[in-house]
Amino acid sequence: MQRTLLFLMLLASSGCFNLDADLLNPGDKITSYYMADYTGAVDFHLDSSYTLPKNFVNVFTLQSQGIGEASPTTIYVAYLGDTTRIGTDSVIVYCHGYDHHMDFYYPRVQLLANVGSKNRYGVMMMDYRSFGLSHGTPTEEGLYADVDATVNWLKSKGLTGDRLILYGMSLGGAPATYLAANPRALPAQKLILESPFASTGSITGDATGLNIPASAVTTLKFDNAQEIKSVMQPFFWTSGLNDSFLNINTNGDVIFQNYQGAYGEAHRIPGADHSTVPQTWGFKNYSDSLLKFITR
Amino acid sequence: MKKCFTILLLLLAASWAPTRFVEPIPEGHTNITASLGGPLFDFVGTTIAMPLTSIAAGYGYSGSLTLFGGLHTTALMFDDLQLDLGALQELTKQDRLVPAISVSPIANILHAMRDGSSRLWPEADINFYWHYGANDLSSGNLVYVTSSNWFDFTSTRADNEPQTRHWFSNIAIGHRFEGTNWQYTTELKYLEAGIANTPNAVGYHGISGNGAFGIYLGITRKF
Repeated sequence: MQRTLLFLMLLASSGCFNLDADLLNPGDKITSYYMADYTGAVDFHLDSSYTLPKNFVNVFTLQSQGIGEASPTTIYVAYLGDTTRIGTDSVIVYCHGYDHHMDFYYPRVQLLANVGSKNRYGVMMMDYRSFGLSHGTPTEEGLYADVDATVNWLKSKGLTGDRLILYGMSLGGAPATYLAANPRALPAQKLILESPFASTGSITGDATGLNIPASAVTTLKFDNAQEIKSVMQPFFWTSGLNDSFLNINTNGDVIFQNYQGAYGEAHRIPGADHSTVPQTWGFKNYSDSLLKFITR
Repeated sequence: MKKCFTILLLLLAASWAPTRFVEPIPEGHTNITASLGGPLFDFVGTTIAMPLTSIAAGYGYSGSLTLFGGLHTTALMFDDLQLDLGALQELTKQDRLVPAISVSPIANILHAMRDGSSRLWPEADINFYWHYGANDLSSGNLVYVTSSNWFDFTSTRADNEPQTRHWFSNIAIGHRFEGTNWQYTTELKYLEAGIANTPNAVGYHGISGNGAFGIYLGITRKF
């Protein structure tokens, strides 16, 4: 209600507005991270076989400074896994979706950490600036910088690009795709996208049916459909056929069609909605497919 | 993500202004209208009508022809120049319960000042209206039904995907309370009739998953 009132007040005032910050603002604040002990609503719960040892769950801060930014921003990140194996094993960098924070996405990352076998992979995720306890104001460049800061930390621990796997879910598909196409700290070995959007233009077009330019509503230029053309790494895409938020035909399908690399695989999951791909597909099917892709 | 895109997208919802004029303005007269309203959508756990604002002016060129133009003031606050320019021609007058009929060709123009992108959507409206509550059939309060048809003739949309839909049908039912110098209008509009409103980033309220309802209020000063 407060957001509604604020918005109405803005409408009543004069001058030019820019809602880009609001577009990336989750509006879901927390006071602490709980990870496995988080009791708030999540998309799904995993049984005890997926439980990670306490010493495998590391939450800490990093400094993130984007191109053209005068000073760094403190963001919160989490590494799930044995940090001593970063120098020798593959690591999945998980870029989460728009809503919520790392606690909310913990079961998803927990699932990824157990792909293949118990505690098989190290997985790192981050709360983009303004998400969770991360500081700062969200921007498009900030999103890229925050993921890159995470990759850079892994690099400092011995990760090399041939063992880096970028995973983007929904909004997270934007920084994952961008950094796969335009590497900064490290070039990624593989790219995985779950329920991605094609571009800001695809969403404006879908919302009204009309061919409305995205620039009419935002200065954000997210364009996964274009960026994917520069991704030559092996590519794994999955979306739900019942995605009620993003039209698979004008989003995920477009990205996959535009992919020009040597190996791509698509998984359109019957019955799955925007946020229900793993659980609808089945955790085992999802995990087995990812394992096959990661180890191929 | 849903709620934020909702805000952004509804700001320039192109076909989402109320019907500007349904009957001609007397020759040589001018009307100025301010409108508030928009489609119903889910926002922060509740359903509200988007408070979009616009102003419009009409001029009675002849007894049966009115020229008009509208400016979407909310869109302007977000760096979008959005105009609708049109003419209304009365075809037949009311005969007891048989409504008067008018038509309006309209050009809807959107210019995104952020990067200069522009769009033009032609529109063709047909209005049926009935006066009531007065001794003659050309004054008094008015009830109207409007079929508003938008056309998008572009061949491609974002990401070079084909623009597959070219006709957008909207239906409005409205009432105009007639004062001496003022008119007060309420309108219920069913937007994009027959078009599925999912999958979509915006939580619309339509009929069986199709279209979206909108509610509008208007106040007009007659000169």
